[in-house]
Amino acid sequence: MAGRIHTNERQRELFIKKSTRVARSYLNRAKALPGLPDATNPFFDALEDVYIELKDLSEGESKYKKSIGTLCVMVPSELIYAAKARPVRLCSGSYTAYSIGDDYIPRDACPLVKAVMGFGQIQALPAFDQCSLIVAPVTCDCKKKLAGALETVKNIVPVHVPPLKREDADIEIFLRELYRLVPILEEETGEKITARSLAEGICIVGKAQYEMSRFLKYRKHDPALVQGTHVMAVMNAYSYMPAERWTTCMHRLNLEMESRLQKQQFVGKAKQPRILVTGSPIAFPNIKIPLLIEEMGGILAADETCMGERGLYDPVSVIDPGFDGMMRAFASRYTKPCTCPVFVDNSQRIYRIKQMVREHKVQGIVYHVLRGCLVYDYEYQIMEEEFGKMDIPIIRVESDYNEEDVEQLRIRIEAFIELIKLKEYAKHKKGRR
Amino acid sequence: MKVRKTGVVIVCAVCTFLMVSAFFAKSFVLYDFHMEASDYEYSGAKGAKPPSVETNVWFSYGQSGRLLQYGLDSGIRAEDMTVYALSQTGESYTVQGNEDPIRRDSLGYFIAALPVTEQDMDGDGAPETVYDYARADLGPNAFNPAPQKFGEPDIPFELVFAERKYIMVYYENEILTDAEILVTSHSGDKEVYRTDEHGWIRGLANREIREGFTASYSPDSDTVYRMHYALEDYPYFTEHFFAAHIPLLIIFLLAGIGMIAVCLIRNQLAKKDPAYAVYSRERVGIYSGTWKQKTNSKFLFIRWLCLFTGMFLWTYGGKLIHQGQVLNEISIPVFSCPFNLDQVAEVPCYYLAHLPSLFHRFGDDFPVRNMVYGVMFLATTLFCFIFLGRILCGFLCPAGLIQDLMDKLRQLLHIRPIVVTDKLNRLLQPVKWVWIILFLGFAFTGGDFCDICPLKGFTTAQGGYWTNLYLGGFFAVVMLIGSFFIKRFWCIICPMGYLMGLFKRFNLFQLKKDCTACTECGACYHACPMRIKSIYTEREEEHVQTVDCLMCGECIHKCPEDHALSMTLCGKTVFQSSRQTFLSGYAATENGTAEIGERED
Repeated sequence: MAGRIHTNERQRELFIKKSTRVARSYLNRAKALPGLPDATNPFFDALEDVYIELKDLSEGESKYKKSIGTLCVMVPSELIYAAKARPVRLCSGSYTAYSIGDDYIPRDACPLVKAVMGFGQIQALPAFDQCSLIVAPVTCDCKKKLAGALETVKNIVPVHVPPLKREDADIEIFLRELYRLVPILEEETGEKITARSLAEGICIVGKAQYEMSRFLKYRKHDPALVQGTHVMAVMNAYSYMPAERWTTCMHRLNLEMESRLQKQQFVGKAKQPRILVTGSPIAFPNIKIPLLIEEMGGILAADETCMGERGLYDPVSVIDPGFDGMMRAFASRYTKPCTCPVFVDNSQRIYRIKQMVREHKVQGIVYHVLRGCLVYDYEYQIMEEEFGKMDIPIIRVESDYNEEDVEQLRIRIEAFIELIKLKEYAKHKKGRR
Repeated sequence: MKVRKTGVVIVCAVCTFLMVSAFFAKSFVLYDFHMEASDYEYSGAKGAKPPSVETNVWFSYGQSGRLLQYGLDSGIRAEDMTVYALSQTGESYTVQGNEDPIRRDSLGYFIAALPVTEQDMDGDGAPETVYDYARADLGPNAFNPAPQKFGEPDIPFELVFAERKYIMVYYENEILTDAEILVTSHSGDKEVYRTDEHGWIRGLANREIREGFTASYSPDSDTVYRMHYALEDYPYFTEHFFAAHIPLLIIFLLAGIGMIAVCLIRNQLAKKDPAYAVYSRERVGIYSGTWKQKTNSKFLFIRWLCLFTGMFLWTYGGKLIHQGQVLNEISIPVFSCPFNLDQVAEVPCYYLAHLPSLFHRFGDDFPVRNMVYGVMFLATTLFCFIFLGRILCGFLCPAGLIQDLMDKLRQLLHIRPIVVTDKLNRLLQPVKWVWIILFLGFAFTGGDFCDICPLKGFTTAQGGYWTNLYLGGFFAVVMLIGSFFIKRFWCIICPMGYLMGLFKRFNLFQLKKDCTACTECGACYHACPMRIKSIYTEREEEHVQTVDCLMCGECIHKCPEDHALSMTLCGKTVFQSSRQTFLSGYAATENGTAEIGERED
């Protein structure tokens, strides 16, 4: 526990002050966007509880006494629910934590990892500190080293994720890792993981996925029924809310969407450029990219990021209904459809984005790269090539966890949105002629 | 590397074993229905006449004393008769009295030449010379696709039952064409039939044939030849019917022992495995709790319905549905055993496995008829191969149903399956090729594929037919154990299934993939009983149906993406994947509270 020596009380106070201020400002900016659905309030409240009120997550929570932290989307949350614990996704966008983590992690590492490290050192975020265990998949280099570095302050279980996933033997490796995780989780929570509890876990997440699949139908609507930034907040809230509560809130949101659809109450205009965001994770409070897009008059129609849709999109498909069958279903579900660029062959990501472009009627793509996020940066080139062929403009925006680059980003995104508008206008004119 | 080498060695050993053992198939006897000399009797034998039998000549064999009876007058002594038997090589020989043992290679076909009598048959006052013969086709393996003609010079008038429904008439070893034959049925009805240009009596129902009938023919006014013909009948729910199930029971018993053994061995292995150690602690084998997906699929219901109907039709259909008649001219490729004479339609497996006899179906006397039937056979088989393909495997095949039921049984017992990884699947391919070679080529070497066919014992026994099982019976045990742990295990190595899949592109039913809608989650691959990998890796081609595809629809059922996978009939979609259906089991109740779904304890 050597890491803690460097932080003192004063630093913590400063941190809390600064961090809550940043989080509040982003929250308010997001809420200020037009067309905020009333049903999104519980999601914003959840984010507020974590980042501003610094509340204890287990407060008022009777079912889940323990929180298990996870760092990537490859950790089956069903397994954690089966152990009667709640998964908390710790990937954070806190600028303040980032600046603390900066001291422990090399300059070129990605800010998300630095933020997580910062939280580990400062011990000021209850949501983070409560996690008695962190399951850290060994994915990109930064996360890999983070798992090692956090060991000094936290109880970490690294989980090996095979970089290849085409052969069954690779999935078998991951299956073994999941089996290894079972007794660790059982020991941590004191609950036995049985076939029955696994089935319950699948049900809990499945219900959330069902509501999300319904929500996605509304999100595909053009003109938009909901602002993308609000959706990002909703998806980010999933990290900190127990799935049941999230599902219930989502159900209400769906009902509101339905009534909006019936009343033809849209948040955007008919010809608003529909933009897709992909690339590095967009974690609260670092939601400047979605905010900028929508403040500049675009609509964030879809996102292909792991803190957004990807984490919850694919349902577990249980083939054999036994314990082993369910474990196998997890192993398959959490590697095969995952479009994380840490996998050697990730061509499926392009297909997935193409699918989203078609379904969400996307007109432009913002490719978000966090500074130092090599794996995502790698894939930009091929994306540019592919979408160039499809005549869909794509822009690479690199950002860091601070507010210094906001103005520059604003100009670029504004220009990008103008470009789409012009293109559409030209197309329209050509069509008329 | 070590694992891979052992795998290759095992596969080589299995393939060699299959090849070599096939030639000694008859030496491995799983069950043999005995035919002992003392078990056949005829009138005159001391006091052995069963009380219910009013006639004087009957044949019986086996412990259960199966009888065949003829409407003969009394007063014939054993010494007055000559009994001829037929061996498997088609050789006819005489059996001397009760003490003479029936040879091992006897087909169970007998003709008794009865004493010649003088009777006034046509009522014109002048007595005719009546030659009486009694023929019985008995015993196990009573099905013989080629007609079994004795060709004895002592028996000028001969009837032969062929192709499940026709009676062929021979006179002086020649085909008797365009002659009037008087047929007296068991119930005493008399009817005159005229043989056609091939010497066939057509129109006699199977039931009438099996009950026994008498056909008489008079070449001139002073002579009458009569043959009393009886084909062994297989009525349901009799002693004989249940006796037929004995080999099947033995197979299931052995398979049960094998399954338990596999479970025990696996538990021991799992204990040594660090990853599964946690699992073996209490959860290997039978454990409580399963996952039940709450999606209802009409398509899969229809599939199960079709499978059960298929099994019923190919086991009992001929007897129950159509007065014993069988659609003999049409062959529908499913793997059900033709030794069951009650099939609703022919299955091509016999002639595909005995290609040399395809155009010698009725012996060498009928070149035209042989040709017509051969062509009919090939045409209907090819039609099914080309236009239906392996959908028959998924929807109709009785062997498929047995395997699906074994899989359901495993799920019911909550026993872990053996997962066929792509590596194991690759290792199984050579075994499939060996089966194909044996299937198509074994007959050319003088062998009989039926002796090694694992499916010979199933539909035949269910239909009440006595079938001797040799090596194939042991393979049936392996097949059952395999299909218990691996879904559709036999289908992976099925030789006929492979042939059926070859024309996949012309099939009316097509499995199609919308590659743009796929997220490569692999659910289809894991759901696929045939472990077709390309279905989830394919990203360009719309047609994803491979040679192995059974069209069972499991992949579509388990696919969570909207219209990613679909089945089409003549271009029209009949079944397609849908996210809404997939997740429908999770749908929240009206008030929005999440309700923990269906599960089983």
